[in-house]
Amino acid sequence: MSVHSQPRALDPNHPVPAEPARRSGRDQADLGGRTLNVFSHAFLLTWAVLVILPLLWTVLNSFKSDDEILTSAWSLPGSFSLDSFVRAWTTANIGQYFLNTAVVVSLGVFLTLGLGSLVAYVIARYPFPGNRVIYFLFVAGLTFPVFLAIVPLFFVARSLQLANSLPGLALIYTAYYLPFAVFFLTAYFRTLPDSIADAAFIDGCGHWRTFFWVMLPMARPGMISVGIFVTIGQWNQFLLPLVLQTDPDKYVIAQGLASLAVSQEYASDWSGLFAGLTLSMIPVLVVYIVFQRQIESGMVAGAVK
Amino acid sequence: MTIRPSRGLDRRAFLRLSGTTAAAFAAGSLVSCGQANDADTPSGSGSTGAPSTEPDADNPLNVSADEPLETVIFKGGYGDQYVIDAQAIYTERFPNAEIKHQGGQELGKQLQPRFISGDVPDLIDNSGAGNLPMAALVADGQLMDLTPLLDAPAIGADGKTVRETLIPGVVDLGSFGGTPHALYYAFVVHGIWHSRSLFEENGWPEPETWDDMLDLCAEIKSTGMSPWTYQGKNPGYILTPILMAAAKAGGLDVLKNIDNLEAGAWTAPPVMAAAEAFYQLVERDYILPGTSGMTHTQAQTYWATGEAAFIPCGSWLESELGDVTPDGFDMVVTTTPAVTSSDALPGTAIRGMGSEPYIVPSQAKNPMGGMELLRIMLSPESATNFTDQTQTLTSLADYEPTDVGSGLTSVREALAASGDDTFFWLYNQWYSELSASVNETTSLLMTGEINPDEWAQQCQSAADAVKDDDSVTKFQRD
Amino acid sequence: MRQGRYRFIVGALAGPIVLYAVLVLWPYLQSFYVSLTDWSGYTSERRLIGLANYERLLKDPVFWISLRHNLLAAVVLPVFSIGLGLFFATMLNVAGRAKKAAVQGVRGASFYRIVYFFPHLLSIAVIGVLWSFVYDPTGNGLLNGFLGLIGIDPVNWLGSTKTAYWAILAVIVWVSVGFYVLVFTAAIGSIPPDMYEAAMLDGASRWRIFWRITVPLIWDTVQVALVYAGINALDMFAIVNVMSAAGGSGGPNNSTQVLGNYIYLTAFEHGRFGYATALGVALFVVTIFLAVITLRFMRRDRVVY
Repeated sequence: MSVHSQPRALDPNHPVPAEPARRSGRDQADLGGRTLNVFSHAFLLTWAVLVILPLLWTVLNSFKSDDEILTSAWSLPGSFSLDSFVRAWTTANIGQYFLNTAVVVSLGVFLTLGLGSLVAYVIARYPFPGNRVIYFLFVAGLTFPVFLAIVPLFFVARSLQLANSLPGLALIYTAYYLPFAVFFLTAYFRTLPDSIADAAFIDGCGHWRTFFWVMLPMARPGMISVGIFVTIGQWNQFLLPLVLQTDPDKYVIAQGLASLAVSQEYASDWSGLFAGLTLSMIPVLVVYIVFQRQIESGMVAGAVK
Repeated sequence: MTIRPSRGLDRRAFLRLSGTTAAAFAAGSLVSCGQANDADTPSGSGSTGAPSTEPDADNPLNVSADEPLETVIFKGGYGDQYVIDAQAIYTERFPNAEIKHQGGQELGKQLQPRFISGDVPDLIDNSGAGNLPMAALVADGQLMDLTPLLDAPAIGADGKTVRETLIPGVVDLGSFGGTPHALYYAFVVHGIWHSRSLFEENGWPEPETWDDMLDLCAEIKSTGMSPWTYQGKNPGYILTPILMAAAKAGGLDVLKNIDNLEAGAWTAPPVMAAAEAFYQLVERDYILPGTSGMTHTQAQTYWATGEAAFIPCGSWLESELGDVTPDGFDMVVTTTPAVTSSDALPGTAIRGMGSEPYIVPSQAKNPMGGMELLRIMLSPESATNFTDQTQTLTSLADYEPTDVGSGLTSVREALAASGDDTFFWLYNQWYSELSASVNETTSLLMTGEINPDEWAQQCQSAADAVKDDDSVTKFQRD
Repeated sequence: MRQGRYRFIVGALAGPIVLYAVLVLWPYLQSFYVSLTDWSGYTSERRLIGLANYERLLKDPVFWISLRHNLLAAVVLPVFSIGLGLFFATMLNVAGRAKKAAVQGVRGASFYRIVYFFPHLLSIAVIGVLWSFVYDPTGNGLLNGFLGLIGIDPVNWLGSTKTAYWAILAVIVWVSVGFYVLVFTAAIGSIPPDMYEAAMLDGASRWRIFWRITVPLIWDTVQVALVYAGINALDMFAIVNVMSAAGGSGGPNNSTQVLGNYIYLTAFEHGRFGYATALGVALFVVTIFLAVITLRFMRRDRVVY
């Protein structure tokens, strides 16, 4: 909606100077562009402030004492203390859970992207009877609350020996994130130009080779952006491990954070909570920034092709 | 110093001597005494754990010495160290029993599949957010009757049964239709809190009647301070003093009628009087602006930092606030002021409530071991350990905590003053949907969106709906 | 290239579909059966009661209140979060000054792209805590403090039945805009840059380029984003659960109640898994219905290039 109202908002007083004499289209586009730039820069900046503040706030609070957090939530910490980080690291066992989570999520994301892109590619580019049915079967997976399936899932997982196992959990994550990956990647594969795939076929590439050597590289920006969401989702996943990983040695980080959050409810260890949250945010942030660069270079690659 | 007032002790001694089963305590249902006389024959009635040895003084519950024991404990504000400490004693007694222990949160979701498959722990502290719905478990026959434990001799109590060493009413709090299925290990009182130092400084008296309260509120407000706040997003907090005032005005029948889903229970005059009294806080603008949108931490922090004078809460308030409380704040709890000139209960009567409900699943492999651990936890030694760790009372009546803060002192005083008039209600544990809907209705009352009449009508129709709903298992108290 | 086509389709889909069917579809199918029973959720016993749960649902006022809230969100959220997301993505990727005939985003684009994503890194628990400080109903709150500067009295954002739901919707927009920026960034990255350059050389205005090139070429992604935003609007469980009250009452007085949260309360707080599952099936049906309608309604011919 906001997009739609732009041009009128730009120049409310001038009765549509839209296409007066059409002197030079280029000039006019630049003129409009400049006004738009000022206006949109302000807007971009506002939004950036809106989202940066809370992150900063989380990090700052992890250095504060508990009463500072509650009584002066928006001030700077009186003194920088690392106590809460030590506490979070030890009480929430973050170190150990970190490793477990890294194993599960890296395997899970790899499988989700691999299988998801394969399914999405086939759905997007191979019309065959049942194509829509399979597509909607996957879309349907996005629409039902996970916690209603959790009890049957527990018994399935147990009989397949997937419970209390890190690779098992990764497999389950994969299954539950497939709908999301398939949904977005299907759209993405549809946007890719046909010409290159056709050329590959003409060159004698088989279906598999075309997928792996032609389509996947072209789909890199889409794969990466979906990969980022899947990583974050699986990193923060709480319900599935809560029920499926009852062995404390196999806990993931979300379970450790939950215990911090709960103890904060009762004993006000707010700084510990924020420290734990900060610690758990850092790896995702790093992964995100690294891959954000990849998306950008993917776009440059797109420009070259 | 004892936790129970001596008056109560005398009374219980008297009851035991005379062998009466008189309706002595609040609920009037001292089921305990009648059955307590059978305590000498702890045959393990209702148990599924096959006793392997003859009962003896050291092992009244016939715990099989080699049977492993598994506990799942909610790890919240109280932690789970106190259970681990008790387990060490258990291990001394039964060195061959392997103990598996897990402390955690969201126990409901963790344990749900285990209940379905029958592979359950032997003792659960079913507390915290996301716990197991107790009434549903009872309706499904998933919980042991804890009578064997209650009738077993208590540790360090000169031949008294466990039941006799508990604060009166605790057994009833965990009973569903007269059968004890849960044992609340911790005991809290609910009331209205203020800062004694602040009140002394300003020469404000503790109000005895609601008129006093309103007068005092006017005075407090004139100083620029808000008289009241409450944990707005959890309206159950402000409902508590309303129901307390109603019970004090009309006597215990008020609460029994509510619990038993009687027609007209919520529209009864004492309930209306209490709702009208609290509605005056809204009408006269005595509530801190924005209260209805606050989380419990926000409201409590504002109260502790002097934005408001009164707040309702349970006795965990002091430990929950922690460092936020200023030095010398000196928080104290009182019961609700009288809302009528002819209140049925004494002015000191207060609401007592359990927390940390311990349950033993009926499918447990070692249910007697679970009860035995609970028996150990209810010894004076373990109870002292718990209170020292948590600044919270256990349900054990007589023991001597060594480390007592100002809040806990006032809780003990209030409980002692209330004595046998300590009361409670059960509908919120029995009927969670009714509880949810009454709480939400109360949030509207306290923002002035509805008046006390409408409030009572809406609560009553919610209660009637539960009563007419065949899919809800009903419980009765008398 | 026809030969091996079906072998490829079967070979590509078999693995993912089996995984998905066993771990996701099968548990959900069992849930459908549960909706016909009186199961409490905590025994091995369940009794078939036919359609009684569905009868109950039709007469349950909270079900209708929740559904109305969900549908409202399904209209409001896509408009705001996708509108903003598309606007920002365009600004960041193609709205910069045209230099050397290459499209690029505004200055600092990659900074914005990283920052906009921050809310997604926060776990739902910290979003709840954070916004309870933002929405603090006294003058101390961030939002009310700001409004105080311009002379507006404190608003009881989450405590009033009139504002609570809108306050929560605003949080969802805040969280999700960055997601759509990234999704659209990836999609725009797949548009061949020469299309923009050609348009610019023709002197087309930015506005025109947006509607004539950007939107049509990423239409599949826009469509998918709309459906996804709609699906999310029908869920909203997590955010309502952390923001309405401890334990997620959906209050005050059900004014923020949504189906996802109501299902959660019914299942886990009230021990009515049978009924909760019936509510879940109703949610599923509504979601699928809306998704299909949207996909049909929005269908455009693919732009082939």
